[in-house]
Amino acid sequence: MTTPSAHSNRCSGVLAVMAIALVWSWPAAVGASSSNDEASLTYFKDVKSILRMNCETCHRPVGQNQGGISAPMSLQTYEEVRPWAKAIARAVESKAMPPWFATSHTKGHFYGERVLDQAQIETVLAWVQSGAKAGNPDDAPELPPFAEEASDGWTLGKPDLVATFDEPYFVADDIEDLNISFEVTLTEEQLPKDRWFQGVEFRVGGRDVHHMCASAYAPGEKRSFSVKGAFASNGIGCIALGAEPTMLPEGFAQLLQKGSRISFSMHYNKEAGPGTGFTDQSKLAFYFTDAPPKHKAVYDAVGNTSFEIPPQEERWRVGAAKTFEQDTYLIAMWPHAHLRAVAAKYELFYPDGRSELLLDVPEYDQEWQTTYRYKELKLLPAGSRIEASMWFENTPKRGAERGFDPDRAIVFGPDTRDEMMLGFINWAPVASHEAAPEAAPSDTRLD
Amino acid sequence: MENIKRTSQCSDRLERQRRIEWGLRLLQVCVALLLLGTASFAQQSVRRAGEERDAEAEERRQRALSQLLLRPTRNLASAKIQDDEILLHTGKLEVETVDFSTIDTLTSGDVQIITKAAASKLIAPRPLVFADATVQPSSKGGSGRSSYSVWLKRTEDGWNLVFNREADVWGTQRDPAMDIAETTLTHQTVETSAPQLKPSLTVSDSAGLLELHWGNHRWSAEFTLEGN
Ligand code: HEC
Repeated sequence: MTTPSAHSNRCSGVLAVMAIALVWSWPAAVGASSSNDEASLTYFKDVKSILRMNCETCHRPVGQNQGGISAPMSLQTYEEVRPWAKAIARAVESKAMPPWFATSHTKGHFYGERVLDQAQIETVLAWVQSGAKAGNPDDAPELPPFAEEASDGWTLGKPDLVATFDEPYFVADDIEDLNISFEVTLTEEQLPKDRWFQGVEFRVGGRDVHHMCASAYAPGEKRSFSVKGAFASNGIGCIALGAEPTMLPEGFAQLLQKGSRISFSMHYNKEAGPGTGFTDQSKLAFYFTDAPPKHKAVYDAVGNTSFEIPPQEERWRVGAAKTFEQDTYLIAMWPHAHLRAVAAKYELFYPDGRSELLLDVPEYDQEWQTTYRYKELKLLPAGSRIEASMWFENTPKRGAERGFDPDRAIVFGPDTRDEMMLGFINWAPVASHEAAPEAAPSDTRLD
Repeated sequence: MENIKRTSQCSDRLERQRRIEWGLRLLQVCVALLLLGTASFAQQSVRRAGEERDAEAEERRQRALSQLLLRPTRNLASAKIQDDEILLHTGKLEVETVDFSTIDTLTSGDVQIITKAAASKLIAPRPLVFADATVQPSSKGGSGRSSYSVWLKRTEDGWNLVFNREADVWGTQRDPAMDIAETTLTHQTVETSAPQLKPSLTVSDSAGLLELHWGNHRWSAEFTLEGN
């Protein structure tokens, strides 16, 4: 007679376990998407490929990805991903990750658009809710290698020329924030004649490189802080969080003159303290084109340098415009501003009065310097006007977040604590028959 | 002997050179100390000056900086009414530009658009009083200065000047919702032609005269600062 009782005891134990299991899994079952049987979602079968294609470009050990500027943690293996599962769900659901700042107006317009579709978001959420299981490694789909794995770390392939500073630079322990420039002259051996380059790729020398820009100065050309000139003739580009190596379309190129000086403008940012110093020798790779370019690409800025942002302003608009006298291809846009910038917008006004929103970044963050590069070049008929606007917040709230003094009026200047309003654009005239070197414009030199 | 003498002369010379070098080094050290002293004194005096003076100095630096910055791209005019400085700046717009040629095409109610420059901008420390309008401060800047974009508007029988809160927009970007005041301008056709849009501000006693001169057009308005 003791047996049934013992049996019933055991039975209720099993029931309790089942009940707990049921309660445990219930919210996941309710929250899961209808298409996926959430219980069977696994890292290897369902999630690995999403992370691989959308997250790992940044989330992997510092080195040969994104020019070396990368995210804080690696998300390449199950062991690396598992502790972050909840944060991943949050980041993906809020669309904070993958980071992409343009609104859906321009969905599909630009290269490297970083967005997950709704099905991918739901898969990740359901996987996390169902316990973020590993599953069977054999279930992982075949994934392509990273582009740079084939060519010594360069995403765009083997470079034609790599420029770097003459000597490695030691960013000392006590440095927290430093802007510094290095200049090197390209030797006869490196560049025996004028060349046209179609692409550039940056590779920074350490995680604490906040961003890096480069310009080229023709022999004898004075190095200067020039608002229009610098960007029209000398700018090569920059890399910061979220920037990717850039290759111009076929037939487009920029000139690099023999004997040019390359100026690297580096911004280091790290915690100061013993042992934090590191040695940097960041690099810039050029990809030349042999065919003479049909279109001379120009780096330029739709910019405003005469503004003054008053203290305590919540939303101060600074605008700029440029009218194109000839038919023009618009290749890319890159809104650039500093700590106080909160939004950016580019609009196109056609000569016939139509207008079009080219780019809307409602939450601009200077930490992310994103270039919006057209998949299909935008044709601007002669007489078209691009208007750029940026909005700045000079308030105690933002000042506390970003470390600035909102009681100061702010004007244009090179320091992070000054402001900028530069709506960079990369463009080329449709008809440029001769590809002769273009003289550097001499206007608006400010040195 | 000859040799020895020469060596001793030589060593004398070396000795003298060494002394000179030491002297120089000492001098360098003195200069360095002096510089350090001045620097630390300067630092102290800045500290002693207190935050208020710092802020004023910062303000001056900002003004100097902004005017210097403005010069390459803007035509400037400034004037003082007592201690208050007023600044007016415009784009360097030639009479050959499309922007100039649109002047004659405007009809009543049209505000002139400028494609090649940021809007003309007026900066004043206190409200501006015109015959038919008072322009209240547009921003709550700690410095107390206010800035406005100013726009030419064609009316039935002449011209007005429109003040807009968005002081730093481009000449194509006026948002009418941000207009804050409008005053009548005196318009004249004058003999001398200004090849570029030229702002000017003149002051007599406590009254000011604001002028814009472009080609043979001259627009003007008198004003005072509130409280004068
Ligand atoms: C373009 C580079 C980039 C891509 C692509 C990217 N991330 Fe990130 N991620 C970052 C950086 C940088 C940070 C550090 C936080 C910051 O600076 O905003 C970060 C932070 C995070 C965090 C931490 C957020 C927190 O809670 O603090 C998570 C989680 C995350 N990423 C997940 C993802 C996932 C999942 C994907 C893909 C769907 C992804 N990221 C794609 C760059 C990237």
